[in-house]
Amino acid sequence: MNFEEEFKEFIKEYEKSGFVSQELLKYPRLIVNENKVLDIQNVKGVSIRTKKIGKKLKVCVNVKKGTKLKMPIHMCFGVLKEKMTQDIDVKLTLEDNVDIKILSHCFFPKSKNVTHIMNGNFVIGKNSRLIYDEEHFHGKKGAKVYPHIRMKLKENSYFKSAFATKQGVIGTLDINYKLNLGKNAAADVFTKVLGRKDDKIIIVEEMNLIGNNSKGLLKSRVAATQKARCIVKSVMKGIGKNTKGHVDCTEIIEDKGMVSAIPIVEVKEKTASITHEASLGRINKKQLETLMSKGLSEEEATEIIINGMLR
Amino acid sequence: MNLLSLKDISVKKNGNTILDGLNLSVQKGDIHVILGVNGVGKSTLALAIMGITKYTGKIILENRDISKLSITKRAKLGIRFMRQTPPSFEGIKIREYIKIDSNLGIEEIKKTLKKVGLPESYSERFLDDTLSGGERKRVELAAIIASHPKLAILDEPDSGIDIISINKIKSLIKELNKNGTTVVLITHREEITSIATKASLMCSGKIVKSGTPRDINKLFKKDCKGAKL
Repeated sequence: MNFEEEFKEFIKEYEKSGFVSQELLKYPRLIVNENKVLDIQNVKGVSIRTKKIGKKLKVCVNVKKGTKLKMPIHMCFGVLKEKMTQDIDVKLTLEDNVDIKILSHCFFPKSKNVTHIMNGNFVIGKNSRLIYDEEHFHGKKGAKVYPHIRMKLKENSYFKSAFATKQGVIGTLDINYKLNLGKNAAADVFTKVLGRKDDKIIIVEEMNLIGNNSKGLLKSRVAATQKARCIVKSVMKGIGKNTKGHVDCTEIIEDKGMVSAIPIVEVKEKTASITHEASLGRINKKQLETLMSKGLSEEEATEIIINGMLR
Repeated sequence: MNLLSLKDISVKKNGNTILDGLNLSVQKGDIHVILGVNGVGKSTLALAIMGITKYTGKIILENRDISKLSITKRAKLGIRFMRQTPPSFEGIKIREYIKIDSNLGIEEIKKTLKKVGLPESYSERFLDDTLSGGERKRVELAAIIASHPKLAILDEPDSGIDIISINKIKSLIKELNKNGTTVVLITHREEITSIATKASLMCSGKIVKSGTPRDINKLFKKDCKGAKL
C-alpha cells in the first residue's frame, strides 16, 4: 500500500470508528498510523516534531509563549492492523500565557491484540490554559491501552481534561495520571468509562496540590456491565497553603460487573481542605423507577441513566 | 364513571402496617385530593398505584385489574406519577427528559417550561443536582403536562414551592385536568383542596371519608390537623 492509499484507508477507518474526518483535517494536527507519521500540520506558535527511535515514536509538541488558538490541535493515533504494539512518547510543552485545546483520538478498529502505550510528559507554563479531550475506540475485540501522563502545572495555570471511551469493547485500559500543581494552579480531570464483556479497567489518578492556593478536582464515572472489572484509585494531596481538592467517584455495576474504589485523601497543611464523595453499586432505584413510570422498560431506563452518567 | 378503584390495599414494611385495607374510588375527570397529615401513608399509596411498592389488594383501572402489571405497563396504560422529591439525573438535559414521554418540539418544550415557571433556557440545562428540589418538581410537572396522561398522581406538588408560585401550580393542575387528565392530588395542606372536585381524608393507612372538598376540609381541620391519627 502506498502512502496515499494508506492515508485514505486510515481516514475511512477513522470515520467508521465514529469520528468526523472533516474535523481532523481542519485543524493543526498530527496523524499517526502504527508508528508512522501520516501527516503533520503546524500553525504559527505551534511546533509538532517527531522522531522514530527503534520501534518507539517520540513526539515533541511545543507551543510558543503567548499563543492563543481558537481551533484545537488534533492528535490522532490509530492502528489498523489486528496485532501490533504502538509505542508513543509525547512531550508537550506549553510556554507561558498559552491558551489551547487538544483533541486526542486513539482508535484500533480491527484490534485482536493491539497494544497502545502512551507516555506523556506535559508542562503547562505560567498563566497558561490547556483543555485536553481524549477519546478512544478499541473495536469489537478490545485492545491493551496504557495512557500514562506526568504533568507539571506552573503558577496560575489551568488544565482540564476529559477522557472517554466510545462504543465497543475496551479490552484492558490502564490509565495513570500524575499531576503536580504549582501556586494558584487549577486542574479538573474527568474520566468516563463504560466497561463491557471481560474488560479490565484500572484508573489511577493522582493530584498533588503543591503550590499555595492550588485547586483540583478528580471526577470519575464508570459503568461496569457484563463481566467487566474496574478499579479506580484517586489520590488527592493537599500540600500547599489554602489548597482545595475534591474527589468525586461514581461507579455502577450491571450483570456480573465488579467495581472498586480506592480514594486516598491526604492533607499535609492545616489550611488545606480535601473532600471526597463516592458512590458504588447498582443503578439508583429511584431514578430507574422514575424513568420506568414514563413507560420505559428497565433496560431502556438503565441505558439512559448510564449514557447520561458517561456524557 | 370510575377510572380508578383501589380495593382492600395493604402495605406492610418491616412489620409495620403502612396501608391498612384501603379502599378508594376515583371518578374520571376529577381532581381528587387525598388529604392527610404527614406519616399516614399517602406517598406509599401513590407508590402502590404506580406499582413501585408491593401491596396486597386490587387496583382496577377502567375495569381492568392492573394489580399484577409492572411499572412500565401501568405507565403505558396512561398513568403518570410525580414523586414528592423527584430524583436528579446526571447528563440528561431537561428537554431530553421531557421528550422521553412526549412528541413535543423544542419550542413547545420551552413553552411548557415557561408555564411551570422555569426560564426557557432551562431546556438546555441538565436535570442534575444543580437544580433545586422545587425546580426538579416543576420539570416533572412539565413532563407530565407534555405527556397528556389519562391519570396523574401528584405527590405533594405544592411542597418546596414558594407561596407566590403555589397559585400558578394550582392553575396548571386545573389546566391539566381540563385537557382530559384525571388527577389524584396528594397533600397535607388543606388550601390546595380549593381546586379539587372530590376529596378523601386519609388517616392511619385508610381512607376514612370521601366527599366534597369542603366537607373533607372541615373534617380535616376538626379531627386530624395536628394529630397523627
